[in-house]
Amino acid sequence: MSRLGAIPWIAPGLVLFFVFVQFPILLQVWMSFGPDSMDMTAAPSLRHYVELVHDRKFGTALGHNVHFAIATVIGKVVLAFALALALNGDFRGRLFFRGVFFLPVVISFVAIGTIWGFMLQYQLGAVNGTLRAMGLGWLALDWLGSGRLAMWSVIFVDIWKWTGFHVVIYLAGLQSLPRDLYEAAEMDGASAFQRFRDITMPLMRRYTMTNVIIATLGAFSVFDVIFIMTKGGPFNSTQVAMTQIYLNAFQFQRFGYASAQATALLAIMGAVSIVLLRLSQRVDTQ
Amino acid sequence: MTIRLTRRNYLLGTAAAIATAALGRAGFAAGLAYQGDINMYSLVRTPPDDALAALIESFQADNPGVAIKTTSYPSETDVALMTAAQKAGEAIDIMFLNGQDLRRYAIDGTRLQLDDKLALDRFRPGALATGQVNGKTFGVPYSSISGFPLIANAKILTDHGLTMPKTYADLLAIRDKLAGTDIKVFTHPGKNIYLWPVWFFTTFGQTSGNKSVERTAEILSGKGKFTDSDVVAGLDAIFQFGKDGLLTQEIFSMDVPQSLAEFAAGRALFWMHHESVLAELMKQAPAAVTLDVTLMPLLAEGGAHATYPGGPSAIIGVNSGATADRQAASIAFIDWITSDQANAAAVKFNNGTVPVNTAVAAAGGPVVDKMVVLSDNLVTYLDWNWPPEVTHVFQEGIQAGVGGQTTAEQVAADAQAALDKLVAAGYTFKN
Repeated sequence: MSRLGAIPWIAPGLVLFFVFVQFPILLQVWMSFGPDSMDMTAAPSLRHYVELVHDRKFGTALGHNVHFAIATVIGKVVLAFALALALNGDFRGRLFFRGVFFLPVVISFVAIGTIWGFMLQYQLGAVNGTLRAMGLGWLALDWLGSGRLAMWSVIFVDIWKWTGFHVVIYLAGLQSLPRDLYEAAEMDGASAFQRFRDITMPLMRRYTMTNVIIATLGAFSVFDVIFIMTKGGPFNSTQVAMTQIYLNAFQFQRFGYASAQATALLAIMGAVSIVLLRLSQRVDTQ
Repeated sequence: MTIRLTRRNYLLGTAAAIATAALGRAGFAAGLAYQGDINMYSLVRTPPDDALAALIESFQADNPGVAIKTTSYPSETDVALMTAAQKAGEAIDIMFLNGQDLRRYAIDGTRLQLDDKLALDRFRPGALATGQVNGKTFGVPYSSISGFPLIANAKILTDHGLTMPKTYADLLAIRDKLAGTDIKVFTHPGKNIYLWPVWFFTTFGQTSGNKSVERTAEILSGKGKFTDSDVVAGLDAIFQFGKDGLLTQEIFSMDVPQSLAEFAAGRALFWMHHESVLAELMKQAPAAVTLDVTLMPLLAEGGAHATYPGGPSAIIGVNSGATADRQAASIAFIDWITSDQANAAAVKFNNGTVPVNTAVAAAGGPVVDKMVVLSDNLVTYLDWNWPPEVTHVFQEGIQAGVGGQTTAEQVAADAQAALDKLVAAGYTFKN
């Protein structure tokens, strides 16, 4: 089939993709040069971007995104790899455990955020209640009410929810590894650790990069878990870029400025994606 | 003719109740030109407003072909969701809002002026004033006037040989007496920044010499500043609650359900919260609680008396952009649900306190009777005048201040900086 002949087959999908993905992005970029009132006939201006450069709150929020990204990416990748290794074996109940670890992925983040919000509550929450009942009251901290701990609590919940997703990617990778390499290594006297270090780890790098890319992009666009659990508090300690955009758009009705913030975030995520993809290509080449 | 709006009748959906209500509405808007849906955007009420549901049914029964469709949003996100609905082009006919949200829409021209559309002399002047901007009426009050008094557990006072505090020193003495127990002096949903400004409305009421509304108008008009000493004193008074352990660190992980659970379990003596929660507590009747209400004790000497912030349960406005026949149908519906008969039913059904209609008497009950007495000290919520950017500064700043993260001077400076930025961008306070 010629290229022109293929167009009618892919056109519907392309149209949908343009309408629901690309067009809103283009509209957002256009709005970022317009007034907050969304008057589309107004002359374009750079004033929102000038304001953005001096917006310390947005800068702080982006810093929180970086903190969130580093912690969740490391947490998810390490934990998911460990779980995938454990679940890769042939043992009784393997399918049950695979299902259990994947279950949080399919549960709504609103439900998860609400439930964990109750569980982590200092006085009445189940976590502290259990710790106190076990005689570990000194570990019963104010997980969501402390400016030092709230972000780590949100990070924990995010890792808890998404690790199962990354386990699936790692499992697919582990099950595609050639068995003959392990047999040959074993015959050569390699220990289990040596086989893991010299065969498994190198061959799993591309899957690790895939998980890193997905987790990083998710970290920069995080909104729901923070909005549900802490609303950016306490004391702005969990404010991230998306909560700032939400605040400016829907509380202050500054749609132009919020669009500028969203466009800046898009640019940052694009740059991060390019760097990670280049790294991934290098890993593939190796 | 009395409206039979009992729960039994509503639940059974008896034709008699509807017919009785319809008869009682003789003279209300029969034969509307508009036929179709009227979209009403409202706030989520806890407990639900069963009176409004029954009033809607009565109106629909008397106006076949007109259906009132209600969409309800939580109060802390109603602006965000209402904005999204407006921008999405959804047809909004009636907005059933908090007072500060009505002001926002009145100023931007999306609310219809109601002065010549409804008989406004049925309302208490104080209640009506909250729906007026520059002397023009853009919204009318619904149900009852209510606010944020101190909800108290008198059982804790009795069990520990305490009396209701009259001064700040009394609060500290109570704190000392309750030390060693697992009872807090105050519970508060500290995680929810939306509720922190209520503390400032209460303290500023005293530190401004009972001129908090006038001072707010002065500040927003540029005749005063948020950095003035009475504002800073009002903020300092709240932060002192945190320094003195009257508000403890645990509150910052609590939202309203946790505060309610803590108060109902008898683990907190006071809760500054909206009096609508009284209905829920009276319904639960927890064994650990003997319900009482009071005002904030005097925080300093100086002659000011205690007040509490409040306003009508809701302000109802009409979309100025709707067609004339939809507006007429909307006004007819509002005329009905704000009638004296409907107001009496709404107040009774929702355990409201002071009805917004002058001709309607308050419902009984010891706690409600006390609220009627206290309502003489009600002062309009100050954030009904503040721009949302200033409100946000106070929301975050007070939370941070109680947590020891900032100072009153800094919060006041931040609020003034926010106002200065708005003024530079063209903001003008309209009163």
